[in-house]
Amino acid sequence: MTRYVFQTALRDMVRPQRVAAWAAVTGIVFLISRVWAMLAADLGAAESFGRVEQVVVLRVIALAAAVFGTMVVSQEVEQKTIVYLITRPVPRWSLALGRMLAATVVGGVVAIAAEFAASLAVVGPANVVDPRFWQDLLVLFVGVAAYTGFFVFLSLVVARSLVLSLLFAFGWETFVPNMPGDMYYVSILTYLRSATPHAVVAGSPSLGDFLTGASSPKSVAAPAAWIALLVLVIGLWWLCLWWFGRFEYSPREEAA
Amino acid sequence: MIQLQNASRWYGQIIGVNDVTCSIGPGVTALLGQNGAGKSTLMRLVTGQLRPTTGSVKVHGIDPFANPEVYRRLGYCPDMDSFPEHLTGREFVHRMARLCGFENQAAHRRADEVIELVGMEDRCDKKLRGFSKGMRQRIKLAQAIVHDPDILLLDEPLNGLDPMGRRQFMDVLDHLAEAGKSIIVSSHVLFEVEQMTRSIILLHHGRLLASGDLSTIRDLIDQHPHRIRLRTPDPRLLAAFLVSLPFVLSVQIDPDERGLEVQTREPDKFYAELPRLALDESLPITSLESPDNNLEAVFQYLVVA
Repeated sequence: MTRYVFQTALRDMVRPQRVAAWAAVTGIVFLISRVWAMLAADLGAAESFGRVEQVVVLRVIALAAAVFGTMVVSQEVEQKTIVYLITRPVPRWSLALGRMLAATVVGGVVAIAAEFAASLAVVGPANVVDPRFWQDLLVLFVGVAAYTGFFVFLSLVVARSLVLSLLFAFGWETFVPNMPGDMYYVSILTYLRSATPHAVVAGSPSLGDFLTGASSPKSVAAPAAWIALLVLVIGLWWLCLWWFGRFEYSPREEAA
Repeated sequence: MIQLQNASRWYGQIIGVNDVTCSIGPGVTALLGQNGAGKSTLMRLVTGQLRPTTGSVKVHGIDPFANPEVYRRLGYCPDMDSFPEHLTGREFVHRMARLCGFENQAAHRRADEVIELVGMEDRCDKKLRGFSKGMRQRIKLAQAIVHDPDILLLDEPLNGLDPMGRRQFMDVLDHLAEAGKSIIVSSHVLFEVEQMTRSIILLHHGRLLASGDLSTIRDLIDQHPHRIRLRTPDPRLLAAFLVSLPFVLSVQIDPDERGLEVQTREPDKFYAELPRLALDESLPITSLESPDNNLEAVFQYLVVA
């Protein structure tokens, strides 16, 4: 049944209007990346791409995870259509798992498109797909899964979670990695950045450094980052499935 | 089939259902109450969307909350007018059938069957967003019965249906009840309920006020003087005839001299006599209504009793 739930959720998430919106986002990624590459012409292509990936692509996957993660449960509750799902003979964990997988797959496709657009804009069509491109994609996909787990959990716990998710994606994930002390450990971006070891640009901290969370030189070793990401994915996903099966999700206005 | 034992449900400081104990068996049972009486909360408890704050709810002897075993045998038609609007009616019912475990082809067949049963076979290939209220009610019923459940809970199912739709809807309910299903229908309209069943559960402010046969309620109504308002061009003439009837207690002419209010202890006899009187004496009656023939009046009687 998880498979059918996954298929239907996937179909709902890739309706034409949504595909068009995300195609536009990919186009914007391309434009920003192109402008970035032109402004930072003194950097090498690899360095520029690394910076663009960390500033733009990692934000896009957080955005995609926030939007699609909200569709897993929260949107169904807000639209009061959750009742048709939770009164079917399908275990709740299966409903949540199928829909979270769909959100992750769609988020992953957005990540691929954004990564490809950024790579195309910065390194050009000749070197658009090098071995590190594939490694980065793997990290991005794990990042989407981690963000999806986090945002779905957020949506299970608080009402109207999309705003909070976006604040986390663009606020928390920008400021916390730059904060002094050990706060950088509580940012998913820290682990994603550490797992995509692109060249570090020497020099005084700039806006780019701030946006990539690199104004503080602290980072995590790549293996530790991978372990942290996998623990986050497994832990958050398990928590979501358990939580959704345990608590009430009757449409809110109706319940009051 | 369904048992509630001292079931209460609170939403913070607000009470939804208060200490309800009852059991519901096969046939059609009406859950009757005004808006806010706790009908929908009770339905959500039985359908396992909510847990009781205290007490217990059992369906076939098991806790329904998030329990697929219960949902295999239970269909629910919510009162909310919400759908995945981008789907057609047929796609929606098919999707619900798949979620109930039907394989693809079987789900198509079953969806077609129930769509025909609710009289939507020629109109269900439009997007749900283009459906009228009545069509949406029918599709909600179709999705509730698509897996042929033993227990069917219908929350205000007649809202938005035209008279023809209501008749067809009630025919479907009769058909399902004859097949041995246990059907619970909520409504705040006494007249609707009377056409569906004699078995009622009456809720008021979350409390179970009465349960059993509808005649109990009717008897209570009939113990009180029953008011009937009539509109007629010549109320004084009509009043002269009405006061001669032995079961009429009083007649009061409206201040605008275009109508009157009658009080009677035997409304059935009054309603039987009135048409004959109007025809024999050529008294035109333009409207007739009974302010006591509604739930609010019933509740007043019961609370006082």
